[in-house]
Amino acid sequence: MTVLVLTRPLLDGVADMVVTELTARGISVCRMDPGDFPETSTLTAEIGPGGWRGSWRGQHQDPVLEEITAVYYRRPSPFRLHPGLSHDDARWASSEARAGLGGILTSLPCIWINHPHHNAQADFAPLALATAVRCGLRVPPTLITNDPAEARTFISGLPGKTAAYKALGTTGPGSRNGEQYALWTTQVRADDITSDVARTAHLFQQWIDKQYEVRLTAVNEQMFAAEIHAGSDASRADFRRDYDSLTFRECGVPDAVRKGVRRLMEAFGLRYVALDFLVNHQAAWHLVDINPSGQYGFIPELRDPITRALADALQEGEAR
Amino acid sequence: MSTLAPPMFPKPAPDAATASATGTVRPFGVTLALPVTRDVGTEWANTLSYCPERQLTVTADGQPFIHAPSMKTQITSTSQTVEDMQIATDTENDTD
Repeated sequence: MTVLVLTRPLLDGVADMVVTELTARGISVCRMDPGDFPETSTLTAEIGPGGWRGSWRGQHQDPVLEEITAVYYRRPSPFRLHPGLSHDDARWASSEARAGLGGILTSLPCIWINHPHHNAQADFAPLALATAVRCGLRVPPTLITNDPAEARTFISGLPGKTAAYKALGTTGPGSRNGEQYALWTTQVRADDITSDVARTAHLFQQWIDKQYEVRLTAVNEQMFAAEIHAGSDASRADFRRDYDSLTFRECGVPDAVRKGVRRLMEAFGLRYVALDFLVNHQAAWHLVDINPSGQYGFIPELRDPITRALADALQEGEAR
Repeated sequence: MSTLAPPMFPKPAPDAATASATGTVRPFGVTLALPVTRDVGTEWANTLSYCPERQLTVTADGQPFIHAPSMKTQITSTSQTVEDMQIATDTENDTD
């Protein structure tokens, strides 16, 4: 058996932890970055009765496709194409690489954590939130609009007349004047809304007066949850803004939430998911973020148990 | 966009063909973005390397980065910040 780990080589601590755990168990691991394709890795595959057979030869590893029993899909780089290609040729080559390498890998009949097609669906916030509601999970009142007047009306009708603005997609805001920008959850009131809401879709959600947040990480049926207590104004708005101010405490998961999460994972075909909940002063859990490949390394107490659970799940492919 | 997943419905527009380089208007949401104070993703680049035998990131003295106590907080928060998005990770090669 071989576990294929798809990610970039540096700055992926989660992949490092899982690779270390699998290696310690004596499991064959091949860590590859699809971004190396096509210039520094070579794919050759032929279709047969059981699907695609062949090899993907990289700089350090040469996985044999038919020996792959599980794939851990983390954070692959985008394809790095030959710098001599024109813009249009590069775009075409990238699309072909996605269809070719991506198509062959995603067709492998093995355990995926998670299959990128499933991740892509769960990453679509409107689809994920609607599915979560159907699975019985509590989601704050939410509006998506490009109508500034509708946005103001919605926010004015909320308790506290305050909403959270959050980006819908996974593309960052880029850089301006050489400075990199990040888009966090931001508190907005009706007066803040401008006509530029009309420029694209915007998501507004009731601002939940929370006691604390919970990061719930699920690997198959196992669930790992920790309260996140914010210690600064920035982290109270969005805990990612100030990790140094956070404190964590392991916690249980209410049965109704546990059942809802299982249904949500089944609906999207996920073996792994990281979910963010806001817990209000009545102890109600409000689901606000669904991260099908969110990382878990930032909660020290849960790091090792989640790593072991992931290794267990990837090792299941061995028995198939 | 994920490297291996197909573009989801609706298919993305080709590479901002309708937009100018600088722009005269901005969507409301993006005006709420804040500058990143730390040089995320590159601040460790000079001290880290990839170990092909162990298949993980190592420090200058060959220690696995995940086991380096002084860097543990940094790696978790840095990679988390990059990963749980809101910072551009797209490149010119990932345009479709």
